[in-house]
Amino acid sequence: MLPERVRELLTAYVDGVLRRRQRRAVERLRQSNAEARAFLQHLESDSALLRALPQRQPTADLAAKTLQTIHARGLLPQPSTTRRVRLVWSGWAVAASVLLAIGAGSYLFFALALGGTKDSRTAGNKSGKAAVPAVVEVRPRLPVAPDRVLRPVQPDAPGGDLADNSGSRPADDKPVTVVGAELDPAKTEVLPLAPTAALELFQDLPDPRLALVFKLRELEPEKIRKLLRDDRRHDNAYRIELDCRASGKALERLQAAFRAYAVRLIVDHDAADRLKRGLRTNFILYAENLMPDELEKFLQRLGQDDRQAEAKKRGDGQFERVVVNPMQPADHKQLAKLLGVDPTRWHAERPKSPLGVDVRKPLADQTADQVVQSLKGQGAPGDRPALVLAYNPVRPRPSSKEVKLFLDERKEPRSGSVQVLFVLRGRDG
Amino acid sequence: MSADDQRLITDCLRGETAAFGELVRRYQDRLYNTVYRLVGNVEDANDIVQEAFLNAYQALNSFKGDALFFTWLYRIAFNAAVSFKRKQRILLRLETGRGDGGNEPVDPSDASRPGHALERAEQDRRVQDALNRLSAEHRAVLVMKEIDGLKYEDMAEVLRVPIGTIRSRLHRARLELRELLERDEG
Repeated sequence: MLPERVRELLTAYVDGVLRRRQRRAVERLRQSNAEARAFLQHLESDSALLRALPQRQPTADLAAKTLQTIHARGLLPQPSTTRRVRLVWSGWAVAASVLLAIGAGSYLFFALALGGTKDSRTAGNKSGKAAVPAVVEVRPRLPVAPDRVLRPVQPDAPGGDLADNSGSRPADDKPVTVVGAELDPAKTEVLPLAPTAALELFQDLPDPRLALVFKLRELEPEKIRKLLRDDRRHDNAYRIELDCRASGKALERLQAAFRAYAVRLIVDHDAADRLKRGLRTNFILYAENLMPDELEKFLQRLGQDDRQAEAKKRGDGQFERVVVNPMQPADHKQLAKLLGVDPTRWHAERPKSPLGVDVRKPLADQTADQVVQSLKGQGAPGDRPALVLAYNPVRPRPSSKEVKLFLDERKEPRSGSVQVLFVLRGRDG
Repeated sequence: MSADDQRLITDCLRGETAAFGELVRRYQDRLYNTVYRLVGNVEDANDIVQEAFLNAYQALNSFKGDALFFTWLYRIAFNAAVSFKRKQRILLRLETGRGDGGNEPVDPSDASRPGHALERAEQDRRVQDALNRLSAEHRAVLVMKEIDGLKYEDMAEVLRVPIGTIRSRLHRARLELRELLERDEG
């Protein structure tokens, strides 16, 4: 049997990567050694067989089908998102000039992004050597109740909780100031601290008369009914801006209110991460397939919950001003960019894996679900997903699993239903 | 990257979706052939390639132009194929491979030698069978090297592994293929 080293040389010869001297050595070996000759002959013959395989052509006009699918699903090229910068150090061998360049770049990034807020600090370096400045201070702005923990909803755990009463305060609940000298370069993540005006996506309407503005805790049922059924009866999409004290707590309250109407929140991973860290963030919550009376009752319920919370403990009420606008084309465009899909364009063909099945479920379950859904018409009430995304100061990633999950679980809109884009801004956001 | 591809990408990012159609037409055959050889199934290859193009369209902004567009596209298609295989949890596809191998296109120049066409089809089926039986890693490098004609450097770029890893994988892949073909001949 040929030594392994020789066999490697012979396969590299067939790969065509040897230098001239090595090739000559192989050719001499071929002439002098019968085993090497036979081995090489087989390898070359196998290579020829592979190359001789006929060229397979696609059976469909892929270009036409692809364009059709792009139009049908309203797909768009995703913007590049580079909000998260991971610093990876290779160790002590990193040149001082690279350190300086990265430090200067990080400082400039935060100086521009934060507009010089007092929360960003640059660490001085007493030794006088070049060092990475402190890049982020992470601190929950408002107190988190000791018996509540924020946990992201997992895609494979339907109905997962946004919060649970764990009874313990999370370890990362304490303020953390990260200073350059203390950074573990292999683990440091540099995260934008707070929303900025420059990154705001949803601008005020040019004509404020089109908006309905009120305080949620003072919401009168008649007023909202008039709004949604009379004044806005021709609208089928709303943008509802909710100014709140703390967007994280506000989301929890929204979740609790939605639960009563069998709407399940799917929280994007990055959004959940920011919630967990208590970072100031503006969120959107996109819900669709709601009937106008459901939306009315939902807003009433939300107002009621918030009133009760405020009555129970001063400062616990989250929502302040609410602004209701019809969704504008610019809002649709921004939403489409965030989702990667135009949500107003419904397609009968659901995104599917190559075999056209939901590979997350066993086939038997799907068959049973399909039968149940067809009997009930619109599916079980608990099936309506709503999507939560962070949009300022970070954007969702193009490959967000949660966005894909939401798009997979959407149902065809019922006649007369509305789409609602909630925009949550923390008071300091 | 060719100036023509760059122009099409720029047009596409400006909203001219038809430009992406042109890119698809340019690369669909080559990509399809590769994916077919990776997964050994006509329908799956069609679906995977389409999914790869859709993913590429959505990720177009992230293409930096520092590599060939086809290499970038190739990586997306390769990842889509690997992801598909993982979901399928199938490493050996004897039955599918045999079924599709029987549909290999026949070279019309062999029409004057009727027996030859059958022999050739049978040989191609055997080879595709053996390919299907290789481990995913080995199949990938052999397809890239022998069917796509990629260099080590390009393969390393697609698979995101060092060139040394490519060399050793190819070595083991060739040995494994030899073993499978010998077993079949025997």
